[in-house]
Amino acid sequence: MKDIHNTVGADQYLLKSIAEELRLPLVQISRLAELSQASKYDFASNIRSIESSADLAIQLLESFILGVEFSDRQREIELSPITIGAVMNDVAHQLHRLASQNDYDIELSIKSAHPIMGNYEAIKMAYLNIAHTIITGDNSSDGKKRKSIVFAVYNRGPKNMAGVYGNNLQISKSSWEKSLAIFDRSRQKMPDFSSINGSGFFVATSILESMSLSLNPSKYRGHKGLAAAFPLSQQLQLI
Amino acid sequence: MTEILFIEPDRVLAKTYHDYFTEKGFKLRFTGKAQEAIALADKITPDLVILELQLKIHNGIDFLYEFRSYPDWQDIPVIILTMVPPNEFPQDKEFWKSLKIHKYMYKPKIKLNSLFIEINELLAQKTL
Amino acid sequence: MKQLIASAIVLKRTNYGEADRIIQVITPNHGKLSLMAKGVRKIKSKLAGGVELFSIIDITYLLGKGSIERLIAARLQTHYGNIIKDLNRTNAGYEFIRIVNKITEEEVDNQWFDLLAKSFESLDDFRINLSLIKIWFYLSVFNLTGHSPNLLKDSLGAKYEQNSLYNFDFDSMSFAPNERGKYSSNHIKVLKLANQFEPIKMVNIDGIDILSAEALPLIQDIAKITLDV
Repeated sequence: MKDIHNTVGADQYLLKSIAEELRLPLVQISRLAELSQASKYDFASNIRSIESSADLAIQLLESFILGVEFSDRQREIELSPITIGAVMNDVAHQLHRLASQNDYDIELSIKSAHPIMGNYEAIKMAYLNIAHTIITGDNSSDGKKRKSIVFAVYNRGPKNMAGVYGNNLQISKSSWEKSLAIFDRSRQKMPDFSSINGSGFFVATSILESMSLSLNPSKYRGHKGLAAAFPLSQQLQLI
Repeated sequence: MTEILFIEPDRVLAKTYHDYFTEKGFKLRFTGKAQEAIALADKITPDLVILELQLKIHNGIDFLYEFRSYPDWQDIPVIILTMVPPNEFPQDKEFWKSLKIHKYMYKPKIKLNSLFIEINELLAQKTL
Repeated sequence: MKQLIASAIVLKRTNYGEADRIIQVITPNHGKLSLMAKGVRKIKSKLAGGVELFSIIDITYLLGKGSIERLIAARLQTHYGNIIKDLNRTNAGYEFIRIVNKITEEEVDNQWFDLLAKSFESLDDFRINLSLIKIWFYLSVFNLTGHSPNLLKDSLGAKYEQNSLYNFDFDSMSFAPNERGKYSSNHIKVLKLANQFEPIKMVNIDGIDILSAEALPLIQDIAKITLDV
């Protein structure tokens, strides 16, 4: 799998890409604020939407900064025993409102509670970005079927798999590899799936890569998504 | 009532534009997808199309070439309202002319009111 | 009536009447064809389907007596799906189609079909810089139409020299030495390479992206003047 940091200028391009993606929530806030001033129509709902967009922008910024700090080794990645299930639970709750607003049902499928050595904050940021990109990348509604997003943790051999899956996510090994190949050249990295530029996936990739983990396309119960495999710590299992 | 076909993939923005322009007396039809936009245009024959270029699967330029291949739709004005910045938007005159693009507007810098003014001016020109 | 099969690239699609479309294609062995696709619009109008743009398709058609043949079947052979993932590449693809359609008459040989196919293949590959693809395309068109600039000798008949600067002289269709010239011998080298090799073979040349971007406006000006496109 291509390491996105090996490309010349890739970090700069990622930063530019992230900055561009931040435009959307800021434009949303600006237009909503203008609408609220122009009309009393559904004022309370507009204010809630402004709050959501602002929260989204803040979260994007925080995760991007973290991604850069970790990948540049500006910050030490401190590892401690954690359970991925707890991380996923946290992420699911944090995104619950956004998912609802965008007609997504959230499902948690935590089938493993094995501890691993990891950085809770970093892993949470990575999965927040993945899930957030899935939800906002396709937030239109065609009224035909309800969209769902699954946060899943399960064992596969000696590894703990943790992934985010969607029932309308068209992602395959080849489309993922193509997107990685063009991420520093193309405005829309995954247009088969998303109208936004999809930086969140690459920020997540960057964060996980700084912990020597890789994000890969995966399937779970008929859904497609992205997952990382965390090595199980044998010592922790004995505790 | 003026009917506008609005091709906008972001639901929050779509709702904002919808609420604002509905109150101003326009009828708006929204879709985030190029394929659906063609089907909608087929159904309603809009007075105006407002188009985001960054769409899922087919981009806005692809849509526009398809849209202009219909003889019936040659005179429907198209405003591009997009997140694609000016320096990335094709500037050659042939491109603008062949696709009959009325105006390019950079979404982050266009307030609702500015868009409203632009639409009114365009519709006024059409009736002259 | 005779039924023929051919590979084709779609140049243009125009709606006709309530339910039909006229599709103009270029083929390697049968020149340019106008085909009537009957009933296509009864189904929802297709942006995707058997007659996609930026594709090579296999068509079956009835050879009629008039200027428009009847399309019986169309099957996708190769679809260059990456092109529409980038706005500028999408636009370049349409630009190439428009130019080929404008320049060619009905009786065209396979070189124009091959040019378009190779152009799509290059546009589909994001490793290849877009300016380089455009330069290659235009130089290929110049070769096919007999409007190639002189990339071997300058306007005075001398070989191009390393460390010299040049401006382009439209009268002689070659580069003229000029102390304050806009183009270096490296720009001319890039043009020479693009004239000989396909874009994919030039991807790893140092500085090719920047040099292509700098040389492209000149090539486009030459195209405007010589080809009126």
